[in-house]
Amino acid sequence: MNMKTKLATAFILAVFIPIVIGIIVDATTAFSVLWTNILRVFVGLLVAALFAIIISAVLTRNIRNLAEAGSAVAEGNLTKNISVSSGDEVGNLADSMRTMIRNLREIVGQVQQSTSSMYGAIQNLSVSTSEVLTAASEVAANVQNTARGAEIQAQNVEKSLGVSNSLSSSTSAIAGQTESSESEAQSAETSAQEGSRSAYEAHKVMGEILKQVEETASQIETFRTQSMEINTLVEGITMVSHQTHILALNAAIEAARAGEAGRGFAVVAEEVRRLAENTKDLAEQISRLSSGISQKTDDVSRHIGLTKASARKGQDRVEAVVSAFDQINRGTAATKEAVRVISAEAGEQAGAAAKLLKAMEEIQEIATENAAGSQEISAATEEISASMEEINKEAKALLEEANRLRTIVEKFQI
Amino acid sequence: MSKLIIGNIGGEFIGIASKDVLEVVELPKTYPVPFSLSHLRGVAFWRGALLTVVSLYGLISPKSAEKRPSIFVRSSKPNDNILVGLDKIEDVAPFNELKMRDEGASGIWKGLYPWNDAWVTVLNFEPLISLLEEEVITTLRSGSSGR
Repeated sequence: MNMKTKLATAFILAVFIPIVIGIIVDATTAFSVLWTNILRVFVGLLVAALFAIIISAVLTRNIRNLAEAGSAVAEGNLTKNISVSSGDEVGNLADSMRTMIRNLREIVGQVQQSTSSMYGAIQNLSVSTSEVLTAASEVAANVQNTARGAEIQAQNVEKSLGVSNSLSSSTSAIAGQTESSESEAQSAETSAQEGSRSAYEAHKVMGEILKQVEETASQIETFRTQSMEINTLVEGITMVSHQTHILALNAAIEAARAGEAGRGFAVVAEEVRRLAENTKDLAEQISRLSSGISQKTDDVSRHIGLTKASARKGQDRVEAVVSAFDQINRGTAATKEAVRVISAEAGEQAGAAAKLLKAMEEIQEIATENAAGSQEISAATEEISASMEEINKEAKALLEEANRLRTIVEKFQI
Repeated sequence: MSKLIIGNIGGEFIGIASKDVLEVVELPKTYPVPFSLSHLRGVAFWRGALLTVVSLYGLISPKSAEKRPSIFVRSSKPNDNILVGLDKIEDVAPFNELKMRDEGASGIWKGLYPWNDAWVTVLNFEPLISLLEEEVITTLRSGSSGR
């Protein structure tokens, strides 16, 4: 029996039954009967009211239980059990409320769990956004440093480009110089070879000179010997002339002693004396000349000796020169080879310098772009940092909201 | 015809009359005489005779007393046996005693005789020889008496 049936039954019992009773009483009595009827109506009303009260009490007990349950639910107490068990609408309502409370409990439980998780997540988010903000600030600072570094790098790259330019020019100049040095080394080698040939020829000529000097020395020695022989002969002539002079003197003395008879003899003696004197003078002149010749011959011999020594020394020097030229030849050959290698290396270096220059130009472009990009990144990072500050602010606000939500949700007892 | 043998000793011209000279000789090997004077050079053997060798340096030119004469004039006196040393015989010139200036000359000096543009001191050879012989004798005596 449903609620409508029960209410209809209760109405019939409480209203119609007394009314019927009253009508019946009315029918039996008149006036008195009126009062009696009124009394009866009153009693009937009272009984009906009593019945109504009893029936409503019966009927509202479950509703009160439901109301209490609803109040508990309204206060967040979802632990309240609904003890109503009937087959009427109240029972249905109780069942619905039970279902609702169960569902609410699940939902609130889930909400509490979600709120707690969300709070933790928001808390983590807040911490993370704080950290991200700090990191973003650091990143911004680093990016600014990087931007400044990129700018400096760009400037340095520009300077390096200038240096590379100079290096390229220098290496090109060095390459040119080494090429001319190679030519010079070739000339030096040719000159050294010519010098070596000349030194060999000089050595040969010095040998011939030495030989001729030795031959001359031998001839001078012969000449000196002959000169000495001339001296000996002159000494003999001088001695003879001296003796002749003395003989003439003595002849003159004898002629003088002979008086007039010796006059002719005296003339002869005088002529002989004069001849002897002339011979003596000539012999003395020859002797002086011979002495001069001897002296000069000695000087020449000494000079020849010195010349010979000088020629030998010169030959030794020329041998040393030949040896030196040999070394120079070897050195110039080595130098030429080294210069050739250096020239090749310098050429490669010039090519590498040109490549380096090109690479430096590209690096400069990249560095300029990097500097500009770094500036943009720096600006973007500052914007990100500002956004992160906003997010952090929002995250803190969200955290507060989540905290409030958790507080609210925690009011539910499940 | 007389001749004057003009010699040079120590730069001085000395004249000796040819009649006083036997011959002109080169310096023979000379043997020193002990205790002799500086102008007594010694004695020498020459053509079988022992001759006294005398240098006129000490008499004529004391500055050059240590010099050695290179040519000697032998006295013509048979018993003189003296060789008088000279540096050089300059000339054998005609000798005219009338041209000689001999005012006040005595002893070993006979006078001055003109020769070329110079004056030649003519030796009085006999007194010179006598003087030298006396000196030699004196020297030898003094040397032997000391023993």
